[in-house]
Amino acid sequence: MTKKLQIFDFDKSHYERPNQKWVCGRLEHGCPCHVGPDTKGRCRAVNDKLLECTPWKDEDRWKCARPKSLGGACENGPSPTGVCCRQIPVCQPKLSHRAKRGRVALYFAMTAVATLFIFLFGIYTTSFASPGSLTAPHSAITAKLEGQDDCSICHTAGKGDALAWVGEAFAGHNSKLSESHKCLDCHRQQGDKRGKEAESFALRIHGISDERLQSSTEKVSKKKDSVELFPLADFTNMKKSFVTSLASREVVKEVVDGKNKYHQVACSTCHREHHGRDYNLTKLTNEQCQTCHSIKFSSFAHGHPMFDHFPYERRTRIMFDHTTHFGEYFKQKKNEGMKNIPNKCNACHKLDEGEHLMVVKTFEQTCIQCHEKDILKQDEDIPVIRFPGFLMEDFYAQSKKFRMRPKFNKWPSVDEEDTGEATDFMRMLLSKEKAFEDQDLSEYLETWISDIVAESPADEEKNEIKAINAYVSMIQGLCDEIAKEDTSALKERLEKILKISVDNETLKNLFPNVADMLQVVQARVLPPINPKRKQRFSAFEFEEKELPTGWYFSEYTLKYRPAKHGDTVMKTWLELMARSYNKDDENKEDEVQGNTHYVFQALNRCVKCHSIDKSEDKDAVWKINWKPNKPSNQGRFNRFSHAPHLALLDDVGCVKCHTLKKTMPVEGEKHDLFVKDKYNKIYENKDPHKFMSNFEFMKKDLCSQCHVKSRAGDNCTLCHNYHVTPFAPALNTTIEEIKKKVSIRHFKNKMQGILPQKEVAKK
Amino acid sequence: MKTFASRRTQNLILLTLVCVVFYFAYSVWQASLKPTNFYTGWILAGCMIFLTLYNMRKKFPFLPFLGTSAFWLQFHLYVGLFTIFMFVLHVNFHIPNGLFECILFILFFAVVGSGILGIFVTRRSPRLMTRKGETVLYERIPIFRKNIKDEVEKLVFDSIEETNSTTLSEFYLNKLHGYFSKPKNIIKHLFESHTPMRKLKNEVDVVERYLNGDEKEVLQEIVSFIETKDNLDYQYAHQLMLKGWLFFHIPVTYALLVFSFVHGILAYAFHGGGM
Repeated sequence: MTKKLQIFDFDKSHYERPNQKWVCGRLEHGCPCHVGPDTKGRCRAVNDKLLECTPWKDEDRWKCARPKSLGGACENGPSPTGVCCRQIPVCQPKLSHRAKRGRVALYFAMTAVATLFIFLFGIYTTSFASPGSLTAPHSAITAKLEGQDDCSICHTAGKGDALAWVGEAFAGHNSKLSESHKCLDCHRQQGDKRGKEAESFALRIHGISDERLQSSTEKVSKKKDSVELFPLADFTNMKKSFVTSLASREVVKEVVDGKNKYHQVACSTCHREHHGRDYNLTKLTNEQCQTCHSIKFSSFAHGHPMFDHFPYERRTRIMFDHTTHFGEYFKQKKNEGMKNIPNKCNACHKLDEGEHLMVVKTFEQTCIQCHEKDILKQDEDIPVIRFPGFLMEDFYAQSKKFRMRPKFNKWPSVDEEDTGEATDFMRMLLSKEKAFEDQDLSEYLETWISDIVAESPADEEKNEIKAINAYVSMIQGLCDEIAKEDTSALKERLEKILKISVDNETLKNLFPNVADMLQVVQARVLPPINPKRKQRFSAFEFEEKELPTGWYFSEYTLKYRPAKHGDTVMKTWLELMARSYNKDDENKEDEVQGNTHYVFQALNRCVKCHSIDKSEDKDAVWKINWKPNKPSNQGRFNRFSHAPHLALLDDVGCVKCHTLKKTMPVEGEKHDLFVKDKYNKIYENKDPHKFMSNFEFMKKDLCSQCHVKSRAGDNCTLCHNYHVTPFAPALNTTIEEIKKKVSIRHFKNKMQGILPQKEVAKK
Repeated sequence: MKTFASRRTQNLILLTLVCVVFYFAYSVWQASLKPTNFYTGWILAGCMIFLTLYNMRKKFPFLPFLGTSAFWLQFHLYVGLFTIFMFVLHVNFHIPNGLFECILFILFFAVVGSGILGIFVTRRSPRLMTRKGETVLYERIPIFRKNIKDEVEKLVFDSIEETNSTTLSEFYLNKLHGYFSKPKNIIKHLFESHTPMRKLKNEVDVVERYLNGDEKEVLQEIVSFIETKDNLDYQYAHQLMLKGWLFFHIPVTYALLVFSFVHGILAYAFHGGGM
């Protein structure tokens, strides 16, 4: 049976004040005084000599007045003088429970402040303040800096001390884009120049120009009706669709004359560092990808816009008709007994080095078997400069008659049958000669140049003799220019004719190794009137069967015979002609007039397969597609990797996805028939995007069979690039530059410390 | 009047709804590539300041317009739970790996852990104390302890004179003096252990056979004081726990606030422009 301890009667229980700061030191012994210490924690019994009670006088006797809560009247009672006999004993007051707690809280807070002070202003500051380890590649940078762990490599705030950080924290947010420029010290978008942020698109949305972004947005916006954000079929994705619908980010800064100006995006908007070595810096969710987009959808399988002309956005660069080749030519060749006839796609296509995209094999690996003879065409060598024959005896005779001195000494004297017409090259290269401006001569010259063979001076006209002189001089002048090492005159001539600038590399490749031959031809071959010299001339003529490749001289004509596929001279001339194709008549593509057209035709064996597009370059008219498409995942919003898909192909191979269009109509059905004539016709138009593909366009359903979240994944970044123009990998030189920067900064900091000391020492 | 259970259910439902709303807001911020950590950080800072104000509120009990302490406690508990949820969002479901942030993380969960312990203690101990026996004011426990000791010693001294035997007094000196002089078995009382009391009673039973009738009466009286002291120790243990957990919870809270302030400065200084 327990005893009752606590009595709350007013006269048996005193009032507790637990919120007072100090308590009597004797409390822990169970006998506290009833007055307690003062507010400053001093025992009041020390100075005041307090007594337990103040006796009261009952008539002539002093009586104890100790309250009942303290035990009531004491046994001894007060002294005869009325003084209490029980003095309150002195103690060392102690902190109350609550005050102790307050003090502990204060100590904790002070310890926290002291800890922060030590680490932020003293030792291991950067290690302490770092919010976490960097990803492995970024950690490697600091490792290469030999322990110079410096936040300022990536943070503008890092250059100051902890006090400066406070200022930086309250600085305007716009200045923080400078942190992203620090990222660009190492990670430059391809094509950007170091230190030229103003020219960089790196911080623009998608890393592209505002114009391209706006046009892309407008293009995609047209598909608004075909997307779904809350499709019933994708009910499980409802929560994400809900989030996607609410998520938005203002991207347009302002609109000026209908053109959008977009905000720049800091790198750290998407790439968050300091989350550990293995953190995926490029991870983005589908909702995050769509936050800026004007049209939003649920998932790839449900709601994503349908593919539009995917993946063929233009005609092939090499004019290769798959249908007729497989359906007709290959069969024909097979019947002729040719071996190694391609029967599968991989006969001509292979994976690129990155094993992402399919590329076309080289000419030597594919087309050469059938098309080599189309290139070399040994019976159709290209005449470049022809020395037209005149009956020189008549010419000299008439010159004498008109008392005119011939302007040349040597020239082929030929019979009328051997007179030659000007070549296409001559028509072009001589077209801007000054002699054409002479009205007396122009009639003769234009006749000789343009369309008919040069004639002997049959008529006894003085002007014709003058014209012959001028014509021969023009040809000799042209030969001199070609033969000279100094190509400036030839360059001037070409730029005047073609109205484009011609670089030295091009000039070098127009007439390579022809100088010696021309000099010999001019100095020795062009014979005087004396027919005996004809023998020497014939030494430079060859039999048809032994004609060499490259330049050679035959039948008073400088000719060129291509050596192989990809001949440099042919390519250079064609490239030059394409660039300047009838530049005066740019809007008259259908007309065949113009000097460049003739030269183009003379070399047309290449463009049988190499298609020609309208050039996007302002300084060029056409662009010849010398190489087949080299597909790239760069510079595009989309990317694709063939390698992981190859394993999914069944017996039909690539045709599983790339379905060849049908060539023959099925009775009773309407088909978009693909016929050879139509195929060739699409290349007559120089716009490569107006085309007809050999293959059916691919449907989204084909991809979405596998690309769902539970199978191959449907993350946006699986097929789309955010950075349309990729970032170049950080090079080792960058490390050196950072080292240099850090070293300079450390040097400056040290100097700032040393200089004041020196000044003090001087004083 | 609502019962405690219904009130708790209602508050928990409300808390869940608020958490769901904020989780959606968080998801939308994340999806919008907004500086979500700054948003959740400010909410977290606001919550922590509000939670700290509860301690301030207790310093002003004379201001009625601040609301009752019970009302504040309710808010303190549920805002505290919401703060845990917000913290998890703030750290993006990851454990930080920087030294400073690890300290912050530990401090936060030290406060949270001590808070949860506090809820447990404040819910459990009062009920147990009431069930056990007489409840006493914490500040008076030393006085009662001394009173009990004085009473027991008086009984022992009186019994020596009355019975001319020292058996009881020796038993007191050997076994009971220490027991009555200071608080005993605090940890065991917290775990509701009756072992110490049973052992002591066994000791009493052992000595009882050597006592005469008068001494046995005195011993019975002492046993009742032993039980009283046991209850007093029980009350002391639980009240010490009721007050003691705050010795950790509040000081760590202030340390957390200091670190949080510096964390905010660092976050703004080094945020990298992702805002």
